Amino acid sequence: MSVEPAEDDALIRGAAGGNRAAFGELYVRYARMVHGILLVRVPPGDAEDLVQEVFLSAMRQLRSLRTTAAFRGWLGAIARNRAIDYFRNRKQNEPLDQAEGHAGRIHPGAVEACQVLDLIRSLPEAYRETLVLRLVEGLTGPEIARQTGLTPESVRVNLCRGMKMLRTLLGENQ
Amino acid sequence: MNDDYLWDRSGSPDPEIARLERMLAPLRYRHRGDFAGAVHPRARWAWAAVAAAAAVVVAAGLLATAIPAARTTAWQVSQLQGAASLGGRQVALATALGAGQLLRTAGSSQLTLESGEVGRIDLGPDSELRASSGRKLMLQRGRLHAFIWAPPREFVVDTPSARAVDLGCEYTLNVDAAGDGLLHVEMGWVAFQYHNREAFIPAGAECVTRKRQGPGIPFYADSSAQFRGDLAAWESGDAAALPAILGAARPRDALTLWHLLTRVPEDARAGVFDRFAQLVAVPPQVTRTAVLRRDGHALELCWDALNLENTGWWRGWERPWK
Repeated sequence: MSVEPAEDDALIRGAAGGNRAAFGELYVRYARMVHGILLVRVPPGDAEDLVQEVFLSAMRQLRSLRTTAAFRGWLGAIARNRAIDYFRNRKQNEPLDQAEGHAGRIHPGAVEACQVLDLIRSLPEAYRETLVLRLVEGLTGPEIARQTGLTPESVRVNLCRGMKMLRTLLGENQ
Repeated sequence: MNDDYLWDRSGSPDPEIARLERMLAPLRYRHRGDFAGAVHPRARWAWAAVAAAAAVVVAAGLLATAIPAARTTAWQVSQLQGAASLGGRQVALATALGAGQLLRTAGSSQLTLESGEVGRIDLGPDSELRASSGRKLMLQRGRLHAFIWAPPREFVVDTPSARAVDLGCEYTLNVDAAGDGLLHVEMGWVAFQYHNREAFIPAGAECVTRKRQGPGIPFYADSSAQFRGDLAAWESGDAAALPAILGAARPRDALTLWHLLTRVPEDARAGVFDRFAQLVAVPPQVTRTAVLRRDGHALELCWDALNLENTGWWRGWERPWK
């Protein structure tokens, strides 16, 4: 998916002005980025629901955003905060013995995928999101850089180092 | 180790990365609809309470007109322009669609149906829709635009010539008086089914369906008129149109060529695959021989090579050619 930043900026301005169609288009473009950030932190079965909550929250707050350039980082921050809230709410609402090891609603065929995801989650923080965005969400390095606001150089380093560590972990777990 | 594939999927695929991509695909995000479906559960309950209250008020009014008893579905009329009838009675806002009842819009009318758990449907003028259940509708004639947030594969629309299975998306379905149809997908995916025929249609693509033949070959809406014309000619039995289709295909038209691989006669399959391999980076483990005998695994790898988004659902699909 190739997205021109200028085109994105126009959508962000439109969405901030109340244009629902523009916001819908931003949703289509950024949902995978948000989902990847959530997937690093919450059970896979719940990540999709949270994507919609993140965008709903963003839609309510978008007018407060000062510059379009801040949108990408801002949206990512909302996703990370929503993941924190997710666990905070769970701790408040669930008995302690049910609060850990919650797999969420996942397809039975995704068990192997969840095992690999667990390995990715065990990597240093800097590599987790980048690898999930690349391997799970299917974004390329340039797309990850554009969507997250990281520099292409940082993304490339994160991908290479993260993948190297993941290969080691996969070898140890075979 | 060459990191080009890891970086931007250029160069030769790294086998381990490709394996991880396939393995992790079921976790990938799939679009489910827009913000109409993104309401927080608490807000959804509030909306449901308002809707229920409205339904009670309207139901009181409807008692006098006494629509024939039918098991109601969760679909309710939320917008109405012009006139429409349900089971022969006039439709009003908040009218619930009963199972088995025929909903009919007048020539210049249109209405919107909503179901909190499934999605939103806009029914165009001069259309006829019947609900078998909350998750299964039959469009007999006219135009239906669907915005679905139910999980993939749970919502289907039957037409006289094929079944459209929602895979998390937004689409428009037209059915003419003869029962033939045209599906245009705006977001996500739709599968078209009829007996052992299937077509997978992504956003931006269309697919024709014909009575007693089922779904045709999907094509992107921005393909040339010549390409679409040749495809229609081939589908109507003109085998001589195939070389023109292959010759005019752009890289993204590999979607069309992939479907042709599963449909063309054996003697034409080699030509289709050779052109497919020119347009798409086919994985090295895919052999021409395997594709020519329609080996399921080879076709799956060819599908992966299309590099289409959000196709995790496909892993669990029937895929009758396997």
